[in-house]
Amino acid sequence: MNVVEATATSGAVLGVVVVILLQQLGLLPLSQLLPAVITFLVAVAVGAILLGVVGWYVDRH
Amino acid sequence: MARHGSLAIGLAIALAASSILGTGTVGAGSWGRGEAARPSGIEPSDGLSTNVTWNGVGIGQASSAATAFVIGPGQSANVQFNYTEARGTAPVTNASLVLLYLGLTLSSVSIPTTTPAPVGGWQISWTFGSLIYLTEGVYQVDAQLLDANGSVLFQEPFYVDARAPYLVVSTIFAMAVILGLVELLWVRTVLRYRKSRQGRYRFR
Repeated sequence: MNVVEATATSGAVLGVVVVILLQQLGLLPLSQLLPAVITFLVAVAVGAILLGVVGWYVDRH
Repeated sequence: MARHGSLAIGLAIALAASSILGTGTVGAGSWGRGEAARPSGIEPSDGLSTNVTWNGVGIGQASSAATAFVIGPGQSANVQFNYTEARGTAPVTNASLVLLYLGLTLSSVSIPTTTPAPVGGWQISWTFGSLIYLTEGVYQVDAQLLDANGSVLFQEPFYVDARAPYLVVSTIFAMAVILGLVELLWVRTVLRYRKSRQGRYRFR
């Protein structure tokens, strides 16, 4: 596993953690299935892209 | 190289911090309102007028996650259903509160009556239960009035914010912080390893 894959994976996990944290803080209701699934997918994608870019930057320099 | 590495680590710290600590700004936006997750209620049929209150406050006041009713461990809320059926048809026989999560019914409290009447009401003493310590957070609750066939005559969703002291939220926060630190440590280790290899090749 290279740097980009590792950081992207961590970002994806972090995205899920953040969504659960938001729900528990009373900011994000996850009542309906489809919006909740979409929310998790978006969080995973955003987390993976953000930390993946960081990993890519580190890997390149 | 070292400067770039520090910059990358700083950027990673900023990203992790903003994703973890920036929840307040996210909550103020459309996410916090939860409109996308909120199904439209079922308006009462002709001739049926309803009024549902949570500890004396109309449940319409908690129509979004931002204005959810707060309930703590060991606390109970009095949910009062009142209805008037002018036509006398399809009389209301049942009142229920349904707690939803991920489209599933987490709990359901239902009180039937054996003597349906054109005018009536129920009072439900509702508690979140002992699982509040594990499942704290904001949830949608559907207040429903049903007829003898189980058909929903009236449904209005509202939000409840279950608060428990510390435990799960702080645990998840700690997990996120640990995960971010491990990630940064790993990146730093990789950087050091590469730097040492580059240095070795340089002096050959």
